[in-house]
Amino acid sequence: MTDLLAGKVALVLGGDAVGDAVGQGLSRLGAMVFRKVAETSGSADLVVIPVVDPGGLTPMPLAEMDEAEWIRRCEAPLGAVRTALQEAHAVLTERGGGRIVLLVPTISMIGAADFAPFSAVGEGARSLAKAAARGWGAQGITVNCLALTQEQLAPGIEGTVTETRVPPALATPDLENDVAGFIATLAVGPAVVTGTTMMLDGGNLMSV
Amino acid sequence: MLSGKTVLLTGASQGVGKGMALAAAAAGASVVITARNLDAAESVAQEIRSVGGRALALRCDVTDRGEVEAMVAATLQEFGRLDALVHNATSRFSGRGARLDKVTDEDWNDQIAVGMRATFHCAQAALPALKATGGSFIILTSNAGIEGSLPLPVYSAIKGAQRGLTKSLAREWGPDGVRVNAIAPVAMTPAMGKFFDAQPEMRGYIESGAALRRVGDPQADIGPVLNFLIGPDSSFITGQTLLVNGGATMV
Repeated sequence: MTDLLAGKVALVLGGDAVGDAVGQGLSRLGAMVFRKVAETSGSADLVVIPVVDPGGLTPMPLAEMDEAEWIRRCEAPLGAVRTALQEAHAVLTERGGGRIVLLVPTISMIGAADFAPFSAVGEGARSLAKAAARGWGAQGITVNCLALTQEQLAPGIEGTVTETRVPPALATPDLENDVAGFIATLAVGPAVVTGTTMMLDGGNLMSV
Repeated sequence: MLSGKTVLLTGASQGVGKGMALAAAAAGASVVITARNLDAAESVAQEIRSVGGRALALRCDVTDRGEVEAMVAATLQEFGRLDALVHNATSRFSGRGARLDKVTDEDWNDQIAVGMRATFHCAQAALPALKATGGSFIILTSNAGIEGSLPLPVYSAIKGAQRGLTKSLAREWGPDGVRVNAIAPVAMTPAMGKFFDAQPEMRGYIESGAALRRVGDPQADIGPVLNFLIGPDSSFITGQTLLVNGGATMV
């Protein structure tokens, strides 16, 4: 397992601490991990795009939000996903294809009061990923989303949103070992899955 | 069904918006038709008045916060209440196809402004009035926001984002009695008509993909669903996306 990604180049675009943790996990699995396109030689096998809330998952009613905050917490991160996907396409096509994995929030899939902008980002990112999956499959690129809980996407946060009222079936996967390990299996496995969202929340949400 | 209610629609001078406006008026609502082109909005308002309905036409650029607030204020001044704001307006670039790697900043920024910024403006501007009536905020989304569209990635992103917004605002505003839902229609519009004129074979292709073997009519097929969402029979429905597509997509 430790050499699963030997010889692979992984680009983790953004995501702050989430990106750092996943990058460390991929590195321990043998990948050469970069955090910026400019650090690579212009090509990669795997691109991970964490979709995180610039507001640190701080709740705010929409009625109290000014336009600048709306742009910061909705339009800017959604635009960053678009940019990251376009950068991913460029570096993966250099190698004849590869894998793109977005890390998206589960709260956007079921809705969460006081998190409207980030919910929009999460669902927008998933739809954008599907469009990319359809468009880039012929170029050997798969695009999938892994859905994570608020605690996974904002480590250290005290849960302000209860995703469901039912406890998860399993322990919540951690970023560095479990999530990175799952990404690695997508990276080396056959290219048969694309345009999907897989729940990596320990079996919490099962309605989607 | 909608007697005594006031419904405001953005982007309502043609296509699905116009069809929904006519249907709401036929159901007894006072209707506010807004569009970038006032003459086009007024044409729809006249059509409603010609059969005894109540309608007001307003020019509104939904990307401008001041115009959106003025639109709501004018509605309240004219009709005294707001029971539903239906955000249907889309960017003039929304039908311009390009694979994601070819999408330009211009395409992205214009569509975001109408799709996302405008939704934000409309939601904030309408909330106080909707709280007063226990009304509804309704967003027109698309199958592209559910399944992704190869030639329309930006449109897909926005329509998906609007679904996320629908769910969260439904949870946020529910305690205040305001419902938030989305409609994902497939209906004949001027843009679709032009598309079929240019590629006649596509009409048959799209119709054959629907279980009901046809493309919807904005007034006859989409309008009643809007009326249902605004009216009392849907009072326990919120946070949902209703797919009104003849069975083209089933989730």
